[in-house]
Amino acid sequence: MISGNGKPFGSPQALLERAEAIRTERKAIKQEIRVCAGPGCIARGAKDIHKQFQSEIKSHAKELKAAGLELDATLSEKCTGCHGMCEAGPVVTLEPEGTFYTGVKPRDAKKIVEKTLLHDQLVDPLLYELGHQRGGGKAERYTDIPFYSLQVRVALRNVGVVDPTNFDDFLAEGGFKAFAKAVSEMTPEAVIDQVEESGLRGRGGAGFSTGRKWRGALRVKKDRVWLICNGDEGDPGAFMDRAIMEGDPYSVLEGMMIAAYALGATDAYIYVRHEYPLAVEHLQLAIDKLHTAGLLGDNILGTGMTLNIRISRGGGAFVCGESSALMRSLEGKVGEPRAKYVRSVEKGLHDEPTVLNNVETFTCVPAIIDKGAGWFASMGRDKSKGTKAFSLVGKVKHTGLIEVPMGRTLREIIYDIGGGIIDDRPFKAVQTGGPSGGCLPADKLDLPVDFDTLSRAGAMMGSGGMIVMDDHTCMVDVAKYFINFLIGESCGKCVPCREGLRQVYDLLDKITKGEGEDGDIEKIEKLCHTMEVASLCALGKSAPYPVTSTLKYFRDEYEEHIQNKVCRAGVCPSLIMYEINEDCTGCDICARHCPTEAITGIKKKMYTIDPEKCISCGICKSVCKFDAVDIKSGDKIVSRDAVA
Amino acid sequence: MSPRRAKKTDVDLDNTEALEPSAGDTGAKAPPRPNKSRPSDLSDEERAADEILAHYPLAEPSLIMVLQELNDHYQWLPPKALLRVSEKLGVPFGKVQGVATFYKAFSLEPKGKKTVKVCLGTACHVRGAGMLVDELKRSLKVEPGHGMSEDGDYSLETVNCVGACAMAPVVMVGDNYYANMAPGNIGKMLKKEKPA
Repeated sequence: MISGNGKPFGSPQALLERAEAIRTERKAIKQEIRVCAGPGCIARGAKDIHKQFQSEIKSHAKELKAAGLELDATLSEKCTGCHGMCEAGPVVTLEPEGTFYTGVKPRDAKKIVEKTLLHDQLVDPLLYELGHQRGGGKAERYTDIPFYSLQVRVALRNVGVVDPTNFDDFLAEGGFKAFAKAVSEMTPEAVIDQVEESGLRGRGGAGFSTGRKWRGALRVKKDRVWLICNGDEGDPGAFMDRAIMEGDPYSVLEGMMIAAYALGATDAYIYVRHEYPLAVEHLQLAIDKLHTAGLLGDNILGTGMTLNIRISRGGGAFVCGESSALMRSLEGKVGEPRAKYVRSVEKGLHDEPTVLNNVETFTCVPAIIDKGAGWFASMGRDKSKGTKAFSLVGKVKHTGLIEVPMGRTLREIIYDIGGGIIDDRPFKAVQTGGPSGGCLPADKLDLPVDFDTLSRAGAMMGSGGMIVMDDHTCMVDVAKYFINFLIGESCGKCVPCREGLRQVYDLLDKITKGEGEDGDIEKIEKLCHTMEVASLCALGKSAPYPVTSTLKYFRDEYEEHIQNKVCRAGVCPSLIMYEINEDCTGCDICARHCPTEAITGIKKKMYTIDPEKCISCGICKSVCKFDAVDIKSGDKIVSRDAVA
Repeated sequence: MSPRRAKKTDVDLDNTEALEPSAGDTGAKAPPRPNKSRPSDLSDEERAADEILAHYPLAEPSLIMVLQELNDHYQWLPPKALLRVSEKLGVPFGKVQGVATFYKAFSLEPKGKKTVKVCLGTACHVRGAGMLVDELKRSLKVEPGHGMSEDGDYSLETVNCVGACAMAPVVMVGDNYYANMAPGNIGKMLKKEKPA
């Protein structure tokens, strides 16, 4: 809404002055409406809500003006990135008060404009219900909600704050201040020193020191060094990088630009996952804008620095998140990883020195340069400094995107921020680190979350997906799920991974079908060990973790499947039976939906399921309105509530 | 969009002739074939490939991007277009085929009018997404990733994570998200989405 003069900035000073000018101009803004346009909210109609706000503001222009609110002067509206609390979406916030409206529908725009903007009143039904937290009641501001008040946002600092398509917005929030500082006040060496001192470790999963990686590349650099940003976020249940790329593309680019300055890199790539078209769109918009603003291309900010950043869309292969496979993919080849005795800082893309970091890592860099290594290192614990973004999903009440200092316990994250388990069911496990991570049981809930503690416990920090499971999750089934996932994603190059996964899957499948025998667990363990030591890349080496960690903590569940043919979670179809209980009203809805006509009965009387015909598809349970369908395993009722 | 309606078996078999002169081969000359330099001699698929290729440097690193655009255009990769890409980029056809089969984003079979995508991310899995796949397989009589329903309306796919975990389990039809799905709602969804 406030545009510059369109000319490229000739110096870092000019850029900073412009940012200051925008901030001064914006001091006049009394109200700002922020509509969340994260993936969850868009799916629930955020775009329509935004349009409705625009038209309501137009039709109420006179009254708003009388109240001192004029669009583009004292009133502003925008779409932002993900606010994090996806479960309460679509979310709309009003600044500067921080009013937090949840579950907003397009028709609510009128109410919000008329009540809140014109008369300073809150729209009560849209406020967030605190439930049992903080004594209940409703939260007027998001700072009143534990989900937000317990977070510290560094990588997500601008997500949900800025309009990702608006460069001025980013400048106003202090964007490119760090880059200007780096190129005008710091030597490349000093930048690397700061990053190393901050203790920043790779946020993509392995946790290698970012500063050391950069230094390593400089040491072997001859003519050039390639810079790659890994946005191939393939872990299921993880969407932090997506939220950052979509919601704050400029911060990712600024981080890359600072890295390029430190390394003397002139060419960079961002490799974005195929499934994230909006991330590609926003990044491309940002790159184009930076070219016209003189922040990319030749002679950046008059300093003589050259940098071009290109976007490469992934091809939908999980293994391409592995750095060496990603580089093959950038070369237009099949994304097969290679053995790690050749380090990619020495021979990476096109066999030249290459630095590859994750989206979140790059996003942390400007904050470190701006506020200093000491500030970053003051957060976190031991050898894990700073903060980490997580996507908190699964059977947790407040699913969404969060960021906390390293070292918070799992309990704090799941219960205090996440609000506990859905329907207050018992907690069973939390899975971290994606398909290569592990499941941790309830007695590990007080573990601090950092790189080293999690790996010691048999899980992994990974990219930051955190999937919470309750007693209706079968751990054997979860292990089978991850192995099946990895079968589809193994590139097939090395035998231990390709064949090992298949064999482990067959054994797990046998167990979940109730055909498990004595000795199966031992066979699985042997296979897992072979894969761990003999696979070529991290995918194969870490592939057994979901199995080994569930075996370590939930061995009894495996044994129960094998010995007693029981699935206590009521998940494995061959081990469960559906039965109708006395709550049945004889409404006939299950019988009408049953694909195998296994359900019979007389209307208004209790129906029955013929176990011979039943294929355990679960439809009857999902359509029943009276909770009258039970799941039984081994003569015990294991579930009395809805599946979905 | 006629290519979409092509038969499933068309994929490789009809093109054995065209396969022979694979680009990049330095060996024996291929049998003479029609001169395709004049645009009017080109098939639709080849012309579409040419249009896309015009935006990229003609070298191997462009391969994946070009295939992505082709796949976006046709929803699958017609063999004639693949051959054209191989010729123009100077990448052997075998390598093009290798890349096309390796990456999940590409399909070597024509798709139904709409694609139903079931998210199988972990969050969706623990909330019962597997049952949704089973139900869709039953009602559409297709396997995920292969073929289309008898009426040609739907193809079925499973995806690893659509990044909308808060709404798990999620099913997507085209660009529409269906949140908190249960097997019992599948029928209603298919009816609503049925292409005209």
